[in-house]
Amino acid sequence: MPLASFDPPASLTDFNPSLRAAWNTYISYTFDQNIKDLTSGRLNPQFYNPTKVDTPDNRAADEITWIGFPRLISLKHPNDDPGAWKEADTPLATGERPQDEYLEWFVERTNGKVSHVSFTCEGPEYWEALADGYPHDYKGPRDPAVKGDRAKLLALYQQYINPAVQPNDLLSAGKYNRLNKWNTSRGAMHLNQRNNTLGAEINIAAQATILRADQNGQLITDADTLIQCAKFGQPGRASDPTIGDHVNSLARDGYSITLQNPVGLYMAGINTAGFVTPNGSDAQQYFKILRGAGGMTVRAVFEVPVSEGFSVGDITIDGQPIQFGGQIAEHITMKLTGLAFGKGQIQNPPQQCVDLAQAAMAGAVGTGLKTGLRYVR
Amino acid sequence: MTGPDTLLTSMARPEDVLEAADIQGNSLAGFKNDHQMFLFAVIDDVVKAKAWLKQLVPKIATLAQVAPHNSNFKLLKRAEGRDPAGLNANWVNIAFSAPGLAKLTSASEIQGFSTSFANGLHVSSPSLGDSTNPAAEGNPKQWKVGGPQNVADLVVIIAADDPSDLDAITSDIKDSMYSASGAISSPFNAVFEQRCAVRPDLHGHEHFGFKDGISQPAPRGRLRSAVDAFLSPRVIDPSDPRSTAFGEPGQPLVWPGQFVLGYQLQNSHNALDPLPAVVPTPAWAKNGSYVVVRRLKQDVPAFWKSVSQLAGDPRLGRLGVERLGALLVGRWKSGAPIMRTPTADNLDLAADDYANNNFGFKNAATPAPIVPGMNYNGDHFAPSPGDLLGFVCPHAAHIRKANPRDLPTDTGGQNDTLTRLILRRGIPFGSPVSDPLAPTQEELAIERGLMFVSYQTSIKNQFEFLLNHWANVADQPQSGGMDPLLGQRFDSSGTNRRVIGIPAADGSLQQVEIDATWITATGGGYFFSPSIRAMRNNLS
Repeated sequence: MPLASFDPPASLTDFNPSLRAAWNTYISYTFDQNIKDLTSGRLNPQFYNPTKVDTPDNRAADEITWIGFPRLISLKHPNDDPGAWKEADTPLATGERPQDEYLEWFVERTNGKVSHVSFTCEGPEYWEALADGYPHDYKGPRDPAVKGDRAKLLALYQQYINPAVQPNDLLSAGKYNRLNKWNTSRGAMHLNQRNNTLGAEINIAAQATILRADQNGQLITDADTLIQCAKFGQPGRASDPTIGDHVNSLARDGYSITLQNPVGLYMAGINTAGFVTPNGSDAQQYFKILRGAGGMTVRAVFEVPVSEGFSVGDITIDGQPIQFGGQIAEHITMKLTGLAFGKGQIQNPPQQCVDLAQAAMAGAVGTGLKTGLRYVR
Repeated sequence: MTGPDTLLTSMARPEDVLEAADIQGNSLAGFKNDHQMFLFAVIDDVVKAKAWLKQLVPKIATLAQVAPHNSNFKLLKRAEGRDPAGLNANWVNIAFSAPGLAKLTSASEIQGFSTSFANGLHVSSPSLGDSTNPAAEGNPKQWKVGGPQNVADLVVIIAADDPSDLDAITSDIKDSMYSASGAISSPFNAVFEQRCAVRPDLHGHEHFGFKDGISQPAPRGRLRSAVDAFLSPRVIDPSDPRSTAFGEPGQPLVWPGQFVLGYQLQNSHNALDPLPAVVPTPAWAKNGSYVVVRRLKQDVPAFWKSVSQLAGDPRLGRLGVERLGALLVGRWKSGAPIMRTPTADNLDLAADDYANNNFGFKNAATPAPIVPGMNYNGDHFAPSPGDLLGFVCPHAAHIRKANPRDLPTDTGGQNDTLTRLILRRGIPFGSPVSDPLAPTQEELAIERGLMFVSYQTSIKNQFEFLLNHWANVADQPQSGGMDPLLGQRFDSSGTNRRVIGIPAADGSLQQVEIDATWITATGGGYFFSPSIRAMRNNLS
């Protein structure tokens, strides 16, 4: 039996029944649209919508993991960890965070010393749906009866960010504003970096099921070469090439591939080896999961109870006091899970790289030849 | 071995000519001797220590000496089928810790060195998985050397093929370092010494019984200006695109700046296009390397007792003790890789240097053609399959955690993994256990293990990364558990319980639990192996 419906990320229970139904419609449409975009370009995705295709019990699960700290920022600061940590902690002028590995954080300080670091990996689509019924960029069919639950939205902000949050703080022109002050300068309720979306996750997974060949016709099997060829996500990140390479590897093995329900991006865990506290206590206990159970953490905070007599800033990692949230993010593993079945049952020919295909298309105007969508991050 | 892409179709950039006479030999070439001594000391009298060092410098083995010796040895061994008789060598190298360098120069002079090095191994110890319980044997406070109370200023590494040669050289050096009783002062005070030797019963095997050191990166770079005077020989036929990225099949070529400061660095996106060399700070650090030394005590009976117990788990089917042990390591005791011989050991494969490393974990591998004249009949062993999901070799297997080869990892693709590799120069200490499941009292009373030694140019991004981010984390670089050998992180309750996924005899993946301690760090240090020129001009 195919999956009955897509659940909200981490099976969170914030949505009322109509919002849950709308979420399922949105995710299912996004799957279908990605598949359609590829097939209309005469490509053969091995990606499928599990609410329409049965996923057999003997499927294989591939947990894809990456580090939560922005790798592109690390590469900009070789041998200068403090420089990388500072840049990653510093928001852009727009209020966006430069944290682009699907993990974002907000640092609170007391008397200049780090006291709390809140981590989130919730996609903005979820919060737009909660506020307005559907994600703002959604272009599929809508049930006009579906309304957002603004009261729930406010309650969650007040619970996790600040009791002082007011309804209008979260809106712009009557719609939810993902860059509102409580999700930028005053806190981190959900991901706000422009490329950190659930839509990106689904898009990369779908596009990465296309086998690719280089200009010599050789099947591409390397993560860096693949992402440069297929143009999904961004080279240099820890996340996108890794996700793409995992999925593409399964596709080369002839699997049919999808994303595990509930579709989401999750914190797999924190590695606190090397964290040294003033009283010798285990720092693992200070990482508290706030939202998402069953290995599907979407919100957590690193904080020390007042009763301990010290704060986060008094903890050292490899001898360095915690001064930035990025120091902790370096030790958080992110994950998503792909599902695959039918090894060896699909044998698609590899396709040329997107740039070459576009050049060919430009030279074949009028032939009807199309390529897959290029996802630009 | 990886697939045909990774931009292998183009040629690599010209490789730097290494200043071989200025680089200590144990880094890029490595001492292959059967016997080694590690002398850890602190500087007692700086003036005398400098004078001593000046005297020692001419005796330091350089890359220019060690590399040709190793090359000749290997060629003769290949031709004769056994170790060539009479081709002996004795070597001495030296490395200094941050406190040691500060004594010989100044505190400000060493500010350019890395933070990990400056802090020392004992500060990084928690992140490496060592016990944080001060009373535990693996805690730095209990270490024989390198704890907060007994950091060594330097380590002298003496290597010899004949044990009597080792005794004689060690005696001479110790006499010069430590004065006779009654003297007012000596250059140094001894902290600790460890004599090491390859196993007499299983040459090249560590104490659990597995062949060690098979997979090493091949440093790029040339020993002379001739275009083909490569430090690491290239044996893959140039008609095969892999010839530009591998020395021997499965042995990746890595730019030398990853191991010695001041040379071209590995590019995490393109294996053939290096990043330019960086001038180190201070400038005299060029041609030097960071050295990690870890005295790792191995509990051989505990290891095989655990494996025997696990092998009795009915969920695993009839894997057997030997095969389960091989799955934990990723290689059979002989060194034959699980990826190429999943169900039974294969001694011929293990002995074939051009086949026993030729595998990947993600992509199916094919035999690599070898250049003529190498007395090689071809790789006719079963090729390795693709194994992204870990149904052949567990995700947690030691060799897969330490070097994921062609796999995508949490920090990038296979090119990024090349930036993490280290040159391992370890050697066992202590006598072996004849029957691990029935050790004698005498055997139990003796400590044995591995003197782990690695060379790299970033302790944080190479050695510490491998331990902290991969070996000790259950879900990196792939989910499936900690490295069962090196991943022994203790939790707050003082246990090091870890769960790893094992492919059972029926092909299913089963989660098994391990809670025994097999390896305990009992000492070590972070050191810097300076160039000959630096020792002559800046440190003595």
